[in-house]
Amino acid sequence: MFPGKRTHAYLIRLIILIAVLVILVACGGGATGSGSQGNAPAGGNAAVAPTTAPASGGASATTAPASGGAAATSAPASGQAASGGKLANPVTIEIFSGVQSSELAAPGPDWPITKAVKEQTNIDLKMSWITNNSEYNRLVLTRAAANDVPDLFRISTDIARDLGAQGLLADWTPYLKNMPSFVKDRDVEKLAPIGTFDGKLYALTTKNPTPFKQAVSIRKDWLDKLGLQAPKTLDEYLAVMKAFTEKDPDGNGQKDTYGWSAAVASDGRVTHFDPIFGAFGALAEPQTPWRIENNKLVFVPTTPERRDALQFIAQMNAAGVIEPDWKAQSDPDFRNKWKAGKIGIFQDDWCATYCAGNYDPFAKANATGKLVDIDPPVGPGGKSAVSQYSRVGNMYAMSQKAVQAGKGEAIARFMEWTNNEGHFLVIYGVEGDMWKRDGEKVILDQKNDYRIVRALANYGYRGAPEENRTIFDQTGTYPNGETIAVWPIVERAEKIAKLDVTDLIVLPPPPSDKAGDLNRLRYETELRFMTGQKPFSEWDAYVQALKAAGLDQWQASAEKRAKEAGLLK
Amino acid sequence: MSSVVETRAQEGRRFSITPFFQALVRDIRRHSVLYLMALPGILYFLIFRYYPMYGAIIAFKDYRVLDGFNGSPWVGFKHFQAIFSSPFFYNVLTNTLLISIYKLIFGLPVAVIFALLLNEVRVAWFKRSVQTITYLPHFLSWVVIFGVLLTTLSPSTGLVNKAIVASGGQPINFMTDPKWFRSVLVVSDIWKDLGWGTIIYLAALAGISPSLYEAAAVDGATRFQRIVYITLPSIVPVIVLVTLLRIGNLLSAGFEQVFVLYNPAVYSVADIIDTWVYRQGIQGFQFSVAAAVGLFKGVVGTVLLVTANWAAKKWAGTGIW
Repeated sequence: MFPGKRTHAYLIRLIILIAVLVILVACGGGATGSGSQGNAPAGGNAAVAPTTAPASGGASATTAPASGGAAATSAPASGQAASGGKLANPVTIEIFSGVQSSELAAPGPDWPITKAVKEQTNIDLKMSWITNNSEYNRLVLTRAAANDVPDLFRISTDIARDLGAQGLLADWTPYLKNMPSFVKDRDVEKLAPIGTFDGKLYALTTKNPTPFKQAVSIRKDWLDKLGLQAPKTLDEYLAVMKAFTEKDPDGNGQKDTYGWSAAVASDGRVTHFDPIFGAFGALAEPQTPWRIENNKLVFVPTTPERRDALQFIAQMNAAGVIEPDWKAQSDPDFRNKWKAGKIGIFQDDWCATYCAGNYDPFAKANATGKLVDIDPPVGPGGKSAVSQYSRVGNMYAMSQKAVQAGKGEAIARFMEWTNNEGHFLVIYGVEGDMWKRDGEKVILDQKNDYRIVRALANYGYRGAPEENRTIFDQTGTYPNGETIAVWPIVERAEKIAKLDVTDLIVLPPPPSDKAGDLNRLRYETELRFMTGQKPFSEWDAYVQALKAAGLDQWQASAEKRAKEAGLLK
Repeated sequence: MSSVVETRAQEGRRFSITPFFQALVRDIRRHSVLYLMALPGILYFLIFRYYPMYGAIIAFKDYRVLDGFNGSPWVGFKHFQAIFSSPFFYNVLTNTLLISIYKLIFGLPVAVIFALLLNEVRVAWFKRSVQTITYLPHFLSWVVIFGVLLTTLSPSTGLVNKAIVASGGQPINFMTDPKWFRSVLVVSDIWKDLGWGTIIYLAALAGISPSLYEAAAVDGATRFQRIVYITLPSIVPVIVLVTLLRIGNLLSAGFEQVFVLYNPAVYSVADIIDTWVYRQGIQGFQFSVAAAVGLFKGVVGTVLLVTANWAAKKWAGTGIW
């Protein structure tokens, strides 16, 4: 009955062998999966466009979809492209992209865009989705290090410079003729110098399609309760912050409210103090730390104005008006604080504040709460700015490998498609289902599932006024009885005081072998000045340390580039 | 056996690999099932640990992706010089060592004592539930723990600071105060891996022969004396093993934890080698610099491990090899 000892041993060997094979096969499968299973939509929808990188922009309209050419009136069906039509042979291109927002899943296999692209251009799209957008750059660099650069992906100037120098990126210039409407609508020719390194257009630079998005918001109900006016100058701001902190504006008998709050970005940069720096004329973020003054290139963080602004923040900190978690928290924590009704004044993306899904938690938690946007503070020299803004928008790169494989024209064709036949499908989704027409206007359905379909909208936005109106003209009614119309806030943000730094975007990022140390030195020391851990008597030593850590080298390369671009004579 | 001796004698001082292989093949035949069971582990180390070591060569080259490991130009010690001349190098090295050593000298006794306490618990269901509960944090990601810490340690709304204020103290900003941050790192690390770290000690404790305890009980030894004279000496080899392995990793102070928990306010006490490499090397596409740091860590780790093993054999009478 029982098998002999030898048979037994063979049986065990066989089982183990199978187990080993299964493990190896499973590991292999895991490694090659594209990882498109992201977090399921978590219900809440934070900022509508946190992935549209630069948070600002002037909508200088070039083509209006409603009044424009054939593409506008009958979007996906009619392929009236100047350089349109289907490619003779099918080409597969891989696009590496983040999803619209980190809490949204990636589009599934039935994504309508894949199908439309295939039908209209004969291109097979292979998508590699990143569901955690904060990992985007790291993953691009990792793939680049393995010489596995995706065919087409969004890029930033510093990465374009580094990968371009390694010979991994292709020059877009020869392919621009294949994408005429894209080139025209996105200001590609005007912005080309920004993405050009060593004479090659590695980063296809497009104009910023989103309106300027920063605003200063204040608790109007707290002002009214304490009988205060909206502050205008820096001193008035500080006085109101003190009142918000000390006079119990929410009337709960506890000292749990604060005048201001801030956060720290993942690279260590302190954020949400822009209006204070703006009032001193000392903005060094989020676009550029440079400024041109009397035909000289000035590094703003080492200027006396920057020191004065840091001194003012140190004063705010000493007065206890800044919410004490500000040095450790990220943006979502920061936003939860004002949503919970703890913060009196703050600077943030207005859509992260007033767009429907974002204002809702605030309205639920604060029955009498009322937020309004106000002008940024005016500094001692009469200066004022909410933040920096630039008219430079998304940048795109294609890999040298793709061009060598003969995919260059197909990639250009795809870019043209996003601006032409595919335009409405890319930015709004399927007509009739996710959006519909009402005369000249487009009515958009903001369901989360539809935002998943619009995952590649960053390739499609043209920034025409109608487009922004479609996306941002929303009005919400909230549990606290308030009605918030977002469009007037958009219009005010267009007119509000801000610092245009478009010309300076062409300047290079810090030298890549010094960037880490330079950034740490600056972010860490500025924070220590702000918190009073470092006395201002050490300012000069700090400036010297910056120069030694690589600032001199950076300054030299920036000056060279500024001369080439005609910014310095 | 005799054939091996003969071959050795024939070839004189030159070590021959053939008899070794012959012996190995014979051994594999005899214990084929055991070798088959070890195969996945051996393959894992060959594929994921030894094969990639070849790539460490880029530490001495200016790595260019298109030229590959071999084609990239040789630059000698340029990247090592760059690392040692960074204004922050000695800061990050000090932080790494301090954080690692704190975790070792505070974490190890806590795990051992906890294992001893659990071992003395006689109520089985209580012992098992405590064990399970203390394992749980090990499976949480640091991002989750960061959220928990931020909430409980917040100077304005945190439980801990509310208790401090209620007892008349000033709120402490644990997450951003350089004086407190390392303590947060060490304590949260111990808390997270307490249950997990005790598993190996509990296993060792289970292997102690009950007859020793019975004999001691007959001789009238108290429970405490039994722990000191029987339990502890029996698990010393395991304690030494764990300590040695952690000493070998002294230059890895826990990238994930520090990266998630730190902020510019505490860079001066929390920036470790791995976080520095991440910012300077990976984000700046300086893969040669990152490889150079990895090599540096590997060399230092090996030296530490060999020294510590030698010391352990000398004083504790036991080591890894």
